[in-house]
Amino acid sequence: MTGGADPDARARAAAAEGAYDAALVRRAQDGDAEGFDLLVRRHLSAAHAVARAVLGVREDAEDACQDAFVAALRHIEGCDPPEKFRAWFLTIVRNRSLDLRRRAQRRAAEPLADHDSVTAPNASPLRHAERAELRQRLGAAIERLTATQREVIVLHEVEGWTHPEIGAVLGIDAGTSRAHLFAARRALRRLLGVDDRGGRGRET
Amino acid sequence: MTGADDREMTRPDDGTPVDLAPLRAHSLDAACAPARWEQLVRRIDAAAAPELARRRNDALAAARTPGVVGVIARYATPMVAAAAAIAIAATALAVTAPSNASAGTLITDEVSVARALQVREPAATWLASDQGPSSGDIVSAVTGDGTP
Repeated sequence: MTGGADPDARARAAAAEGAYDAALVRRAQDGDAEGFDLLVRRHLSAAHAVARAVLGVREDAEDACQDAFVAALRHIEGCDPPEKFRAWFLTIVRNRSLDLRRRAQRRAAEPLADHDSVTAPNASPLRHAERAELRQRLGAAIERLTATQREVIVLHEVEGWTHPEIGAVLGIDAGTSRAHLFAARRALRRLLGVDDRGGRGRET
Repeated sequence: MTGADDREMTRPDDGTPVDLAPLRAHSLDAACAPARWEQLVRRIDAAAAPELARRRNDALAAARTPGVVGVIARYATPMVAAAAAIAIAATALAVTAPSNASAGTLITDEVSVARALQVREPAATWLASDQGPSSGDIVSAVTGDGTP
């Protein structure tokens, strides 16, 4: 995304991004596989971030992304104007993810679980186990937040999105996103047994 | 996404950040997990392939279907050719028609009309003359025998 530059430059960059998206949308409308593939590559990371913020589980987030891309292609004429593809598509991702989450609530999903080895390959077994346990605890704590708090904190703290970007996808303003982040951090500290000074109360 | 700037500018009441770094390993992007990323892209492309094929076919069919101008253009040449053929035929008929009429095929004189109507000879004779029939001619024409 764009960031750090002056507002005019950011607006120009956003317009150029939108125009490129629109061109790819038109190619996808005509069944151009390469155009669609480029669209996927441009927006997959953001889609995955949104899906994971809702679903927690990486594999489910990947399924949601696939589902959302195919659904978006089927209804791509509804993307109007095509320059706004990103916002339109991420809304589809979020809605699909929320549907999946509701359906998945019946089964015991492992929250933000580590199904692959994501620690450094040369990490010691002890370090690996510690990180896995920490991930487990964080994941379980995040699962206990409200849906919006969970989405805001994952998109902001894990994916590095700005509040305006989060607000655009969640349909809230940036200030509300900040408020949710504040509440989510406070709740997480409480759930993880971390005191207000940032220390971890339960650890020795 | 560039959340770093935003994170640095968070308001004091955002609260103390909780370190969620261990979860960042689960982010999906081409740089961090290229194999997994590529695999997912291919999966999505494969899932979308039938819909893309349908759209390609629709686009091709639409390209083959001409619009109103195309339809007119398609029939313009045969229509012009047909009009020219009709004009030539009509001209040919107009040129040859007077000679046909003079050949005597048309029945125009009164005697021929009387014969065509199978009127008997005496009646045909007074029909051919410019004089009115006598009472005997009328009786002869009505009764059909040649005598008054």
